[in-house]
Amino acid sequence: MDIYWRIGTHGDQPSLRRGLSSRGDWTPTGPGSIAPGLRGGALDGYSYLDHMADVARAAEVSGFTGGLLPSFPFTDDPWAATAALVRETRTFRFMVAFQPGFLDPVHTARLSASLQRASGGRLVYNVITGGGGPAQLWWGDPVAHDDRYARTGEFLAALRGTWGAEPFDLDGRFYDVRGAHLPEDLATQAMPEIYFSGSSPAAIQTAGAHADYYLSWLEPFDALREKFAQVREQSAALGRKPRFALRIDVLARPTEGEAWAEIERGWDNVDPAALDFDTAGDSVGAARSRAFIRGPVRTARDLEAEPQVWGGFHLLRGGPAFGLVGSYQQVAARLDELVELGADAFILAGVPHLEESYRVGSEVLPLLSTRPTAPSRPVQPVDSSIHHLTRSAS
Amino acid sequence: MSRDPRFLVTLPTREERRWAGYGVAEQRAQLVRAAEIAGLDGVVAPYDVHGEDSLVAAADALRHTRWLEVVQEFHPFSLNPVYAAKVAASTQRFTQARLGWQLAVDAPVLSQPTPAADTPAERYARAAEFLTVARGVWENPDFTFEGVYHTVVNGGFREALAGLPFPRLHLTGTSDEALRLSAEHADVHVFTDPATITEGARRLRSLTDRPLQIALATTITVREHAEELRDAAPDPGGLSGTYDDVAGLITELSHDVDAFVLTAHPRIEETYRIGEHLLPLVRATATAGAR
Repeated sequence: MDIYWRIGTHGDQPSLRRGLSSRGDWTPTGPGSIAPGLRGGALDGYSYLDHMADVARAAEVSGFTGGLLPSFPFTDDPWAATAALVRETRTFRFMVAFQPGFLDPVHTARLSASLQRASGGRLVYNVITGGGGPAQLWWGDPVAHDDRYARTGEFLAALRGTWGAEPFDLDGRFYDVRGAHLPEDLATQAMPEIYFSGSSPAAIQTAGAHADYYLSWLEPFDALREKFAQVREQSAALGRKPRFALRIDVLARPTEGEAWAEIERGWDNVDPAALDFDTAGDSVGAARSRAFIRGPVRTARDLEAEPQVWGGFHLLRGGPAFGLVGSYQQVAARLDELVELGADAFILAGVPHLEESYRVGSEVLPLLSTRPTAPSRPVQPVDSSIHHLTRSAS
Repeated sequence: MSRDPRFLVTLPTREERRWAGYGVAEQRAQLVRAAEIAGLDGVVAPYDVHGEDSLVAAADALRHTRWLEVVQEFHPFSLNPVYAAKVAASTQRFTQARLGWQLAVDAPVLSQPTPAADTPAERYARAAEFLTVARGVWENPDFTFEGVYHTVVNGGFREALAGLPFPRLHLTGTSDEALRLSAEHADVHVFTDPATITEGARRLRSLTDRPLQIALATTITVREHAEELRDAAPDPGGLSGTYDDVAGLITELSHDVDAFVLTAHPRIEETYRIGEHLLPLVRATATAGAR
């Protein structure tokens, strides 16, 4: 089973106890800041990318298949980070989040194949069609919600069409493609797997045709079961059998009491005004999360929708609401249940990402009834050995 | 010239050497190291629709050097300008602002987002919109633009992405459209013919009062002795001669030219040669001239 970690692209907090970031430079650099930090009162010359490199290496040695790099208006860019870091890791796969609307499909094919070649095939896509609202216009994308999914479909069709040595044409609604193909050396690279984000009917329609994995945030289990069934049904009509991936924050400790105590420490610092869930944008996923909590919210445990499934993570750090809270055994057991329910891959995360990747890798992953995918052989980070492996494999 | 001109070399985009088990990425990596250690000022990662991608080359070159400016050449139709600027902003953050941009407006593309820009006028109009938007979101925390090809509403970089140096912008071409785009937007205009660069620079400067740098991209063949040049088979359109000859030529050209983008084969060995034998002559001359 492919089990990914997350590499934050917007700095990180040293814990969930206070929503204060000291890693990266989204807050002023001062004593205790990391990447960049201060040395003798001056900036130490490191950038946030150096911390991202540390997280990638930590997750790699901890047994994760790779890492998801998210993309939002205020974050660093996943392509820029991935292209810089592939030669500093060996087996780690880089899952690049991007919106197809911002890139030309033929350009994306050549960019991706070049990265596949440089990394030994370690690029993975997280295709996002967009949360919409003001953010979409910030990005320079005026296309409406359902049309964006049509564009994503056209983009992925053009990308697949281009990925080969034969010329490909598409007189499309969104893209004008003429005689596109990859250079011979790049055409033999494998196309990256696609983790497809989106929860709306339009998303499911598009994902069914193109996704390797249908990616969802964690939700209460019945809701996930229902969603999986819906995607299976729509995919069956297209003659495909979908696979599912879940993006899950975990807070795991030796005992359940210690885990909740950690949440409570963070909860004490939450501004009560923040308990209104954010309503900006036309993201169906965000609206779904909001709907799972009923009744007044006064304590942290009021957001526990079902055992270990806690819907307050967004109050303690940026990102989705739901995650798992509990002992190592409890969290592992819930993850196992999710596998039974239909999950084929996980993208896990925890704050702080560096330290929690070591913890989850050593304490939780070994308790799962399934193992993270082990690389069949070490892939060296440099182009030399990639050629070597390609030749010996043929 | 009161300052030394900058010297850059061009990175390969396709496999040029037959090294058993090693490909273009290794050729590129060794050339980047050579340029850094031999004291050149930068490298250019070219746009090549039939070769490796320039973002991958540029990001890798920047990550593995301390000093080099890395000019990434790309086609402005390949991505939305907000996104291009955002990738560049992260790259500037990661590399102490050593990224440069070069737009390949005249180069072929195999695809573009609709509406397609096909005629030269349309292509340059699209490129101008691209640059207006890219710089607009970079420099303004609240930027709105409605064009034929690009639309942004309440855009603009904030927080850690704000306040960074915009990539030094290189543009090319000798058509009227190309020179007009440069007059409006470029930091550096890159010419490719040593014989006509002075005239080209004059035409360009007549269009604008902005301080605009001139670069010459050319092949170069230099040797210690004149008789060694015959075996080296220099490219007739490029710079060639003994170290002293070419240093003299470059010093003369430096009245008009701020940067030289050099291509010499084999790239790695010739980069060492340029760094050890040519640059000391040129830089000594420029420094002496400035005294």
